[in-house]
Amino acid sequence: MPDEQQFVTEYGPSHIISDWQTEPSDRPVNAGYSAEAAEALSREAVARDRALLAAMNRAPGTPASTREPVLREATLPSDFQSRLDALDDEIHNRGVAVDRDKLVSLGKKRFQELLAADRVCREEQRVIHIATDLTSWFSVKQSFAASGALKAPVPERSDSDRVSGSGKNRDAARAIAGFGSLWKCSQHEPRAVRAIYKFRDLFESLALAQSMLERTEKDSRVASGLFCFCAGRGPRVRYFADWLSVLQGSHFKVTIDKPLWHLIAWLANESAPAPETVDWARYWFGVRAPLPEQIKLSRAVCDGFVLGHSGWALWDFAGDRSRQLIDEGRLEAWRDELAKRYPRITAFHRNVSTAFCKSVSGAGYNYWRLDETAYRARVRSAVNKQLDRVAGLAALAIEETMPKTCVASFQDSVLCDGKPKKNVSDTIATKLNTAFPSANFQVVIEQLP
Amino acid sequence: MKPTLVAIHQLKIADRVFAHGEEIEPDLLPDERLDWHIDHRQIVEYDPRVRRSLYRLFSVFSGCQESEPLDESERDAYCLPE
Repeated sequence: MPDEQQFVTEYGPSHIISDWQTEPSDRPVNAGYSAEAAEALSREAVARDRALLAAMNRAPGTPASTREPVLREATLPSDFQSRLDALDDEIHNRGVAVDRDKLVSLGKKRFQELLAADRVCREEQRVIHIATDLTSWFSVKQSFAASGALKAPVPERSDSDRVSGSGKNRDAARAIAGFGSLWKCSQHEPRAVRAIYKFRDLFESLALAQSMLERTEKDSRVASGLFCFCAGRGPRVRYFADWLSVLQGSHFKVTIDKPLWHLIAWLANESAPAPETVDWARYWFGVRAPLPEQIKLSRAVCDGFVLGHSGWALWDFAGDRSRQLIDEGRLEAWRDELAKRYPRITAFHRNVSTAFCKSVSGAGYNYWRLDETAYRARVRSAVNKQLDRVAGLAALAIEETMPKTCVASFQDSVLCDGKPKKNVSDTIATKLNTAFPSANFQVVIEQLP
Repeated sequence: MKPTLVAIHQLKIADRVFAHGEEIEPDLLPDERLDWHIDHRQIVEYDPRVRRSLYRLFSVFSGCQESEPLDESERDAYCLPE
């Protein structure tokens, strides 16, 4: 088309020295400048033009701001930390009163259950051999590998993914690094995996009980860092709950209901009521009365959503929590439903995650990618810090109402000596609502048998 | 440390039935009787480094005379901290 006017678009620096840097006269370029000065001016102009072009050609998905948003902070009393430290010391010195005979008696019963669980495992002869030591991950891993069952149903990253550096969370999801991730082998050997988990729960619980017995002093009290704020989380706390019946005297337990959910809802200004995991399980599985496993999975998905997990990261998280293998696409559909129901939580994670986007550029491409590891670590540390404060406030409120009763304080519950006073839950609720304005923490008090 | 004793096939000892692969209590059998079972390939001995004895690991609850400590990593992960 020779008659058509030709438009030519040129990219890159159009001139070496901008007009405004030179005198608006007809004197030649570089006139009056030394060679070094002209070179410096030229470099500056080139850099400016490149920055302009980069700004005008920003890649899709580029975050508007990569500064981390300031998270809401709890309003704590000025002497909060010092009082908490003092209470921590008191709890550590006080210890938990244990009935030694009851502990030995229950331990013997649980040991027989452990032998029975071992027997069930040994029935799975295709995977678990006679020499397999169920107490050792290395031995169990070897047995699964020998039978070809040590495989997670997660697709491998393609060469393209590896070159571009995407899909790293799939590699993390494929890893089977210990008993905690053995559920990933459920596709091939579901019965063996279930049997091993039953054995492991009893084994780890008995290990805790034996150490309790070894650490029991002459006055029948056990002191440990587990009962203080610094260590009051993780599987040991769950196993300790198996042995509450061996405590001496009457005890009650103060539990904060769904602390993780209420905390993140507070951070995100989400006003919708917390999800009822049973109702979600009923809806997702299409049953009237969901099984405990289904409720457990539903709770894990809700927790994963509230922590900002999605895709294979959610699959990994929910599986670790529930020890169940479920299709990743199905989990993602469930997460999407939660995201629609709780848009502020979704927006909160979107805002926070933009601060962890990193520019990735190379020959022919330039885009932003979320550094998931850094993002998850930041969210985890922020949430744990705030959850510790929730637990600390609850323990301080109990100590104010009923002095010298707290014997153990965990991240979501406090164990106390004696019987609860009527106003304990009101005091805790007042303290929590003062520190976390407009939050909706619920407190449940339970008298232990 | 004595080896871990494991039953091969189903085995009845002193009114107790042991399934294939099940561990036999360390003090259950006198030495001569144990040798007889091993000779007749009814019981196999494993080095404790290959398969640890549950009875020895939880001697407080099993009533076993001998005891075997848990690994340091296991103590850190499962036992009560200081």
